[in-house]
Amino acid sequence: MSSPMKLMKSRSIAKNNKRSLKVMGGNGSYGKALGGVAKKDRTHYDTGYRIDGHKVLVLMENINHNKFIMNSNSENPIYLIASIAKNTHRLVISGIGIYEKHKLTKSIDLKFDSDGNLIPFDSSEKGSHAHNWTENSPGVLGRKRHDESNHLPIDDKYQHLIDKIVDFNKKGHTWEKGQNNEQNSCHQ
Amino acid sequence: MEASTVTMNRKVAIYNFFTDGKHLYEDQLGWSKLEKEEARSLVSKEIFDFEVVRVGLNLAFYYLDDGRFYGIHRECIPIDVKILPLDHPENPHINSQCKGDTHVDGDVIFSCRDPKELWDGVRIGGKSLEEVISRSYIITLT
Repeated sequence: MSSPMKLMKSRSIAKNNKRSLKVMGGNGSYGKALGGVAKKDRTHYDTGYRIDGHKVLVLMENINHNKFIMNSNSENPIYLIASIAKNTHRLVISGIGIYEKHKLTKSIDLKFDSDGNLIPFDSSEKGSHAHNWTENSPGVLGRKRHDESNHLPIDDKYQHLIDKIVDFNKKGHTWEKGQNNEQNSCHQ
Repeated sequence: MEASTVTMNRKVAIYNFFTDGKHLYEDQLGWSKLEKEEARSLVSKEIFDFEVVRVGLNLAFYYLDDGRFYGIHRECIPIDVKILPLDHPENPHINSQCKGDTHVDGDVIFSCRDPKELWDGVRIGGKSLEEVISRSYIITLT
């Protein structure tokens, strides 16, 4: 191991010991002792909407950066990441995060045309696509490195879910902070 | 003893940036607290190295000094740095003019295969990325 790598590793360990891993939404937010992510460290709201039981989440407004959640609170969930139109409060789901053991393993970027129909995968990356994520070093998840082909077609097994997402988006569901739609779960 | 109140006068960078009456302040420019915490650093290069180079996130930002949106599309190789087109140029609120999606086509100003080349290679208006980010509002990091 080269010395810069040694330095990086020792630094990482030292800091992890000093301050437990807390940053929700990003790397290291899962607290082992807690068995989840502390509420104060969470960055996304649960809208209460569900599609096939998967939560539809939106980013809290105090953080502007639309980041995929790296560490999930549940062990192996699929999260559906939506944005909200500012004036109409309409939800549009454009991302799927797939987790294993609290870690993001695959993300799917959904692209839609002006009518809200899904733009399928194409190699020129204009269409919907997937990325694999991996633990590049202990506690640090990232897009798989040194992999030029990490721009992937979407596995057919998600097509059924994606069809429901397209339908959900077209229905124009709305959400505002403080509104929890548990009774509005979408089991279409 | 009377309780004292500390008042902080924030300096507005751009009025009505988000919506009418919701301004962008100077203290909102550059990396946010979240990114600093994640990267465990206050040093701009170290935060960039963590978020963009190591984790591999795409970065989109609005650069105040030239009034343009830029995107670093990190998820593919080659990595392109481009000027992002406006989605809604007619919108009076700058933050709503561009969604910060780095997938969309734009004028490519720099391209490389190794993300480590970004920090020293990218220059905008002759300024380094460190200078540019410190004068930018980060739109997306995803």
